[in-house]
Amino acid sequence: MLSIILPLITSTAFALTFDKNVPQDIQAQMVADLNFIGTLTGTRQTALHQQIFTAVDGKKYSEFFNSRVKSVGLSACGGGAAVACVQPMFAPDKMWLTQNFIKFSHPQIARMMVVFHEARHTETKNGNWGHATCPRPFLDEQGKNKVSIWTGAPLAGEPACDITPLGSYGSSTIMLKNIAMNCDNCAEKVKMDADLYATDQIGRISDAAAKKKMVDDFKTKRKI
Amino acid sequence: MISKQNAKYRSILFLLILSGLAVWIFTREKSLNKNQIEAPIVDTKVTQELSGETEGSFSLKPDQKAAKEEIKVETGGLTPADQKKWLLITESINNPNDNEPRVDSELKDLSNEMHVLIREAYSKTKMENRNGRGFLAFLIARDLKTLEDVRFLESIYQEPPCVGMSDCSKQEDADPHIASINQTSLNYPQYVALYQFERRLDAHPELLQDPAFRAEVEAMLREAKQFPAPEISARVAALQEKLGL
Repeated sequence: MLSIILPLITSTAFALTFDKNVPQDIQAQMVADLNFIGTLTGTRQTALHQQIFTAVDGKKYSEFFNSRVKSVGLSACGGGAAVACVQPMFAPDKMWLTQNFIKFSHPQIARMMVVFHEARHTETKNGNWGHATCPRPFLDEQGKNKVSIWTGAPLAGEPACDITPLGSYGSSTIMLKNIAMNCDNCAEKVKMDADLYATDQIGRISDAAAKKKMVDDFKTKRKI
Repeated sequence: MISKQNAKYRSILFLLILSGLAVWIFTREKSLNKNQIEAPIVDTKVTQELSGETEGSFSLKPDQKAAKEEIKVETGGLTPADQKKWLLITESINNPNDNEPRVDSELKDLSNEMHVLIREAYSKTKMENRNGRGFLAFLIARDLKTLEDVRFLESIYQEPPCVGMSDCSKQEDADPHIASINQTSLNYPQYVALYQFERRLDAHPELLQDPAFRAEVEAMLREAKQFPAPEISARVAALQEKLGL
């Protein structure tokens, strides 16, 4: 009798559960996106990528994600233009997608960057990799204040930066940069997109030493 | 001391409880499975089976299509080979899944007729379809050949900026935590055009030896530098310096 019961208990150990109110098309796109990530291959990775994800490898990315996120729900994520979020104090291993996940026309790798950024925030043992407050002033390479392009709202003083390469902005940037450089079975558009969005995201690393560490890391390639 | 009869009743009761537990677990699993889709798991082959795609295949499923828009252009003059390529392009414009190997194996060194159609399709693609417009810009910039191609890239920097993902004419709440991905996507065609243009010139520097082509490129970069996104302007400035333009 026990041999019948035990398999039933453990059969759903690695399944991603969607809440019933998550629309089918959002579920399908999330699965398609994760399947895409799950099939990536590469033969090299940088040291920081090795530290966070190990290899540029779909199986490793899947393990990373699956070990952090067990279920997906639907939420407005505070309204606005978000595509995904997590609420680790409320549900530590759950990710929430918004209608924007399929409504907004983002490249696929950009959606996955957000998903992996949010997955990093579920790590309770690491304080959920909370963001740092962007410094005042927060300047770009041209010495100008970093602002939201169209609203002009400054980023200075906002909790939207990282001071470590290992946080959510850093880790997702490292992932995408390595995909751009080292993915063997990615289309050129995917690699370009990974490079574009990683280049943008590194702008959120507000600590100079952390940023330098990442820039130097991206100059290296390491064989497995 | 427990009588034999009591022991028998206890055994029956225990088996009944165990059976009830088994039935409860079974029905609960059945209920959860209605909402479960297998996460991507270690076995890549299984992952592909779950998605319904085989390696190297490409198919749009109805539940994977975002708001599909039909781009109407005249394709009657295309060769059969180009017709096939055009079908791939029109599928890709609306496809949220980007890792299609045929885009690299079949959509390079395109005919002039194809370039004309792609440029036309760009003008007819909704502004809010940032990925689709970026994809078309990607095809032209990657395959840059003619003065018309350069003028097309210039036009990308002349279009009104897209200020909202839902509606390009309306700004959205810019939560800074998530704003960065949106700001890149809002300017995606502009980023893509520059990115691929630079790579094209890296691979074919001889293009700039043609005075007419060079003049057109200079005009394009001047226009791009005026695009009201600081990051775009900065990249243009860096490219101008690199090319000595």
